Amino acid sequence: MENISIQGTSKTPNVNFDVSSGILEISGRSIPENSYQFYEPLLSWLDKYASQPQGTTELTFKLDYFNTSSSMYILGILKKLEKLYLAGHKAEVKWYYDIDDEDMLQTGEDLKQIVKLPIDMVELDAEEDED
Amino acid sequence: MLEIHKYYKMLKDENIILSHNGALDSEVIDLLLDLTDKKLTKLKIRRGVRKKIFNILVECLQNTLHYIKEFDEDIPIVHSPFLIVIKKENSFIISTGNFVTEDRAEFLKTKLSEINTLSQEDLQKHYIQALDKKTLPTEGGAGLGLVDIVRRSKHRVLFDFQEIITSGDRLPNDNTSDVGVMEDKETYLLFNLQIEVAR
Repeated sequence: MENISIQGTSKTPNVNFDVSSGILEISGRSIPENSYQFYEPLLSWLDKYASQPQGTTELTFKLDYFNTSSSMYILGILKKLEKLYLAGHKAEVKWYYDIDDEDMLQTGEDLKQIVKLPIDMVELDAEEDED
Repeated sequence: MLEIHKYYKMLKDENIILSHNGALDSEVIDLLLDLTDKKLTKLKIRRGVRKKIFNILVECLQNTLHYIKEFDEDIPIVHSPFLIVIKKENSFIISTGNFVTEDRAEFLKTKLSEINTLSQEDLQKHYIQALDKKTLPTEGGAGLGLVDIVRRSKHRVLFDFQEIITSGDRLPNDNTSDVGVMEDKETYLLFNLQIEVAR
């Protein structure tokens, strides 16, 4: 099974899913007009990964922006991981949010309510984009 | 010359950050988002507020894009939405306009009136329930977008429907050719949605 490595664009995020380390990362912007097209391959990959997962799977979200259709797929990804977790595998999720971005924090909290997974909220104090 | 002066004065007096009327596609959305964000950055608006406005604009513009995609290109009135972002003393106003069918207007009226009655807490519950649907959408956000807009803005939205345009009418911004003449018999209403974001 192959890793996924996708370079982000103005509408889609960077994706790095590494099968040998079990480290999965999604970062950047996720505002595609067609979220299905973008996220469906990621969900299929996770189905395959779930048949032979690593000891620990570490999933990180470090998003700047996301639209509502992406948020449904983000939840879809979390549900795949939840399945793995409930089957007895180790899984950790890190949800990064900008200290100024109350909506990103809120969405992280919302997702926490929906899935039974350890989701760690990590605050980012990013000053760097004040150009 | 006079017209430009009038237009310039209006932009200045009304503190208009951005105004757009015309074609909308993926590239135009990118451009509008980028322009708004650059202007807000220049005005030294807090990053949290900028992000909020950016996200609300994404939902508004993509909602409109998904809707107008259902119509033939030869119904130009539908393919010519409006967007204005205005700076007020304590807030920003995002005002969008696009022509919708009577059916769509009814749907929006019902949906927005319902959302407007919800408290922030109920809105939150509603959002989580809608997010946690069993099936994933193949296109668009399955009506979650409007809930998200209100949730993020923390204000009730204002909306109205007017300027009924029927077959034979011209586009308001077209006086040069026949492209604005509507061929079909459908009635369209101008749907105006106004969202406030505190500064």
